[in-house]
Amino acid sequence: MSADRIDLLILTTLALEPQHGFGIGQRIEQMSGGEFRITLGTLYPALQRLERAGHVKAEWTTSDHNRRARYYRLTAAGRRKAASSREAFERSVSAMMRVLQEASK
Amino acid sequence: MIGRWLWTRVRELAGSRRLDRQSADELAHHIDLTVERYIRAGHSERDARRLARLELGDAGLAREDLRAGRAGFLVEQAWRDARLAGRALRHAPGSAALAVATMGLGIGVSTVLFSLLSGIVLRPLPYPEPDRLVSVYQSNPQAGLPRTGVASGNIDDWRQRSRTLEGLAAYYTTGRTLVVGRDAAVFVTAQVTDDYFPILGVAPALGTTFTPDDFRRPVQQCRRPDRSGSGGDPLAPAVAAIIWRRSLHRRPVGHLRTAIVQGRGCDARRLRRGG
Repeated sequence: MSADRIDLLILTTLALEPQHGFGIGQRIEQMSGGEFRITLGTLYPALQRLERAGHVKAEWTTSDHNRRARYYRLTAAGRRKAASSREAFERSVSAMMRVLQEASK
Repeated sequence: MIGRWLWTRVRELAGSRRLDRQSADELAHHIDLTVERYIRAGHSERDARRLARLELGDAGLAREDLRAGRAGFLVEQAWRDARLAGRALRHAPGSAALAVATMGLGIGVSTVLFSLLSGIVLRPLPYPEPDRLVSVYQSNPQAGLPRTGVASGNIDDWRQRSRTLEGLAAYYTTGRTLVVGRDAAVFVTAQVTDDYFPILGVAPALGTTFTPDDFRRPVQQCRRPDRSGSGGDPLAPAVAAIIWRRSLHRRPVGHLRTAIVQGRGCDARRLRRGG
């Protein structure tokens, strides 16, 4: 999966509520109906990238099971980025669909 | 924006070890939660660990990627290597000294060898079209001599029969003492055939080399010139510019025909005529 699409998936997940890495992975897997399973090597470098770009902010907190976990939440810039990425993605997908439908007519 | 960008990098540089430990904790936390999920689904702990690893991929690689993504990764890497090397050398001063000496010697020897090689082999000869010049020797396998001098008769034969060479010039070197005024010095001199300079493609900076006149006069036998200056070598020598400047003080060389006082040898014409 391309980095753009990983980023969009993560930003969309975090738009619902702050999450730690495991939570983000679970959410993406559930919401995609088990289609997207993200490995550690994909998820965490993506989170690092988003954090450096200022789209997410990370914080160590104590989780519900009394364990230290790193929670990521969306920044204002991240929210704007999520909206623009989503728009670009939808445009691209609908263009793709138009081409496919035209071709199968 | 720039401030934050800078701050992120400064923090990453300053606390790189702490950040690395944090990402290790974070990855371990993720793996633990995944294992627990598999255990809750009814797997044994061993199976759960195996399945988690299958699902999540290698945590070590992910940690490497995170480290590489941080600022100062290369600086950190180089610094770590340097510290490790320093520590290793301190623990074994003997082999450290040996290694330094070996490297010093190696570098020295290669430098000398390269200078020699570049001076002798790589730098082209100081003549036009140096790639067209070859040295021709005679060899005497019976005596175990790969390179010997060539008899002048052979040179004449080679000249007549050679199809590969445009020309063939010969020289014969010998040390001679040159007396200028009250000074005397030994120089390497050479008797050369009349086509020596044209074949090398060089012309004298001053004066002439051989002139047709030189060959009209009768051949003289080699003889030792006397101190009066008469009856010496009939030809004035061609003198290397550096010798002319340093030892002859830029004086004309015409008088040198009487100044060569030692060293036997014949004048150049004998070679030419196969004498």
